[in-house]
Amino acid sequence: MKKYANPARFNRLATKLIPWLAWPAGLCISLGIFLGLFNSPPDYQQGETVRIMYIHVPSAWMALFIYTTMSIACASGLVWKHPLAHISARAAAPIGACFTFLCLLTGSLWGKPMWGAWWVWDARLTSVLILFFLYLGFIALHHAFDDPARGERSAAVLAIVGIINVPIIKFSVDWWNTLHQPASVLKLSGPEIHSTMLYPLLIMATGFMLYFSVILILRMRTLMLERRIRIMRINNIYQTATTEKN
Amino acid sequence: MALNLDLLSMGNYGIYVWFAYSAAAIILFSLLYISIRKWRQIRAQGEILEAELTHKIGKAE
Amino acid sequence: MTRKRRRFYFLISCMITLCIAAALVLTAIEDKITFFYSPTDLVLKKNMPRAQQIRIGGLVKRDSWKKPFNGLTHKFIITDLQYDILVSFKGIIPDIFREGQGVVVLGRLTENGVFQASEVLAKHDERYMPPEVADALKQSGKWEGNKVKQ
Repeated sequence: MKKYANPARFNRLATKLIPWLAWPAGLCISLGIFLGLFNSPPDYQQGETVRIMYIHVPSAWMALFIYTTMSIACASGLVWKHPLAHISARAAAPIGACFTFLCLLTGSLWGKPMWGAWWVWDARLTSVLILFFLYLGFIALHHAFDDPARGERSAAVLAIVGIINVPIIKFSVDWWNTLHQPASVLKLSGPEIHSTMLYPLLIMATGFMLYFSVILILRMRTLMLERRIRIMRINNIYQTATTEKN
Repeated sequence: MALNLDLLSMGNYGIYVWFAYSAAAIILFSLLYISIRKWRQIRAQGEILEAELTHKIGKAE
Repeated sequence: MTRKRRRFYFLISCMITLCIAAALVLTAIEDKITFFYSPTDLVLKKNMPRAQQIRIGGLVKRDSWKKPFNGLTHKFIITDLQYDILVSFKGIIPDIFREGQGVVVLGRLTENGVFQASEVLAKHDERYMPPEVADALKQSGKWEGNKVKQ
């Protein structure tokens, strides 16, 4: 794993990997949209609004998944100092923030026609809003210090502390009374969702996952090159200074 | 035409559904676009710097 | 002990402390986190807030929904299958509001025992299926009805 910390090598790997991920991502998302909008049944209770689920639920899964991987990467960055750990977390954060925002937005668009409210302060909605702020805080902390290493460390601490929010989001619907429904798919007794609706959902989730990996690799490669340029510039200034002295 | 209108209105919930899907498309495309643009910028910067440095080394020799 | 190992154990102990702290805080403010109370809470709990508005949630009791004939006032009973609360609400009700379905109302219990609601939110369960499947299940008698979460 350590050998991919070399930007040139990572770059070669990324160039090879991206097309293999990007095409299936586009395919899965397009298929998911088609099935979700045109080729899946309405719900017995919620009618056509159930189509929002095919965006809302995969976004929510991605929001939680990305945050969890980000915290694990940050923890391993602090403990084992792996060079790629902080870069991967930093690259993942904006993607996670986008998915969380999408989840909140589509949830609101779904809540208005079904519940009768755009927003309520129940445990599930509030904890997801906190997740969104954690992402924003993580991104902001990276830019808050002149020394990038310090920003990296403080952002990592925030990401690790914030992981406590992930089980709270997942189990909020079981622990407290909420307006939000309990889990439909990821539950012990098996999915409570008809297969004609489950397929589009899983296809869309696969598409989002592939999309995430494409953007992650793209952003990691950018961040690594950016860091290398910074180091090269510093070395260059140093070298120029020493040669001029001689 | 009637069929198309049915499809669009989705039992009067169309506005919510279409808005959700377009928001998703806009957000995901923007993130992709921003990420690609940033990569191209940095790559161009790297190439310029690389050229400057090789030029400098060439002169020094 | 290497430095890496020491950092690792430090992280683990921090996480355990964090979990305990979070669990304590969440238990302490449980009443603030809950979005609604059940009719049982309203009847049995002594320290229910009387002055401000509260939310009550449960199922709309079957055959209890009196649709407004005089204008706008809906009357229905919320039940958690133990206690019933009669609710009166003036306004527009969400589309999926139905008898036997979950509902959350915001309001205040009046002197005569009627809950005067100022907001009605519909709550749906976690089951998703096409209407045909739901009909088939109902016809074959395999429909489980609504599970009450408490």
